[in-house]
This record gives sequence, C-alpha cells and structure tokens, in this order.
Amino acid sequence: MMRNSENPLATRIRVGWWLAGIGLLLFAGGLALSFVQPDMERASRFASGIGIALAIVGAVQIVQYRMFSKDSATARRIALAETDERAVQIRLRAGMRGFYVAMVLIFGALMWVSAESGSGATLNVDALWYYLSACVVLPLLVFALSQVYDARNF
Amino acid sequence: MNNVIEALRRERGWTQQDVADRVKVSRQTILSLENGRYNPSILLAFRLSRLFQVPIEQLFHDDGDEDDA
Repeated sequence: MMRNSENPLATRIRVGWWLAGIGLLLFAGGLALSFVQPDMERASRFASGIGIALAIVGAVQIVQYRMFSKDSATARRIALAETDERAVQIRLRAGMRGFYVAMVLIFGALMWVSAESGSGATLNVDALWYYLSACVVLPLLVFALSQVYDARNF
Repeated sequence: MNNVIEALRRERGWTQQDVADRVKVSRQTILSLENGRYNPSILLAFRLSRLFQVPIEQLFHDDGDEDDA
C-alpha cells in the first residue's frame, strides 16, 4: 500500500499541537496552584516546569514540520526516514541496546536499595540525582551511538 | 549475499538516488545493498526485481555459509 508522504508530517504537526496544548495547561495549572495553595510550592513549580518544557517542544515541532511540509523533497525524505526498512532496523537495534543498558542500571539500583534496606543507612540525595541522571543519559547515549555505528557498518 | 544491483543500475544510467526513489527507500539503503553490507527484506527484493525486470535469483546470490555442507 502506498503511503502518503505527507501523513507523517501531518501526524507530527498534530502531536506538536497536543504537546503544546498539554504543556500550556500544565503551566497554567502549576501557576494557579501556586496562588491557590502556596504551601504546595514544589508541586506547582514541578508542574509549571514540565508544562513549559512540553509547550516549547510542541511549538518547535509545529514550526519545524510546517516548514518541512512546504518543501516536498524534505517531506518525502522525512517520510522515508520513518519507513525505510534499513533505518527502522537500525533504530530497533539501537533501542534494544539502550533498553539493556537501562535495565542493568535500574536493576543495579534495585539490588543496592534491597541490600541497604533495614541497615539504617540514609540515602544521599545528590548521589541519587546523579545516578538517576545516568539512568536517563547513558541509555540515550547508547541509543544514539548505536545508530551512528550501525549506519556506518550496515 | 552478493548482488548485481550496481551493474544493472549503471546499465540504465541511474543514480543510487534514482533507484531509491523508485523503490521507496533511502539512498543509504541502496548504497549498503550494493556494498553487500545489508540484506533486503523480501518486499524490497521483489520491488527491485520488478524495477530491473530480472528474477530475484538473478539479482541476489547467496554464497552460502561455511557451515553448509
């Protein structure tokens, strides 16, 4: 079945609108919460922060893919990037590798917490922050580098 | 797996991008195919066969594994 090359772009623009809308709602909700419940400052800041991030990501996506949709060659290239079988295989392989790294990191944390449980040791919040950051960054890094490597070798 | 895609493409005076556009894949995929680094799916193999109007068996040659015997 032939796939309309504009569909992926229309989908991404629609996703952009959803992200922007949800982001704005979260931001507004966080702001409202800070006025209505001043003692819930942490929650309101968290909601507003996430909302701003989502709104920005959504807005960038809308602007970017609207520009792309005006250029049919770019639109076709983007559609191909989604459906090209070799690109899909490379992404899947990279995703698996990133998943394995994430599982090892999270399992390690689980084992550590299980071992420390009941020992009375206090959790170092800074160390926890760095470890959680690694749980996000390392799998992403593996995902990205794996795609670069496979794109060159396959 | 070896293939004769590059030879057939050059016979027709097509670029890799021309072939990629006609079979709806990226130019990198055609490049990897011609270099023998990537084996196509059966769907892509059929599309290439129809494009060049040669049977799949003439397009692709499997040298066979060393374990085959």
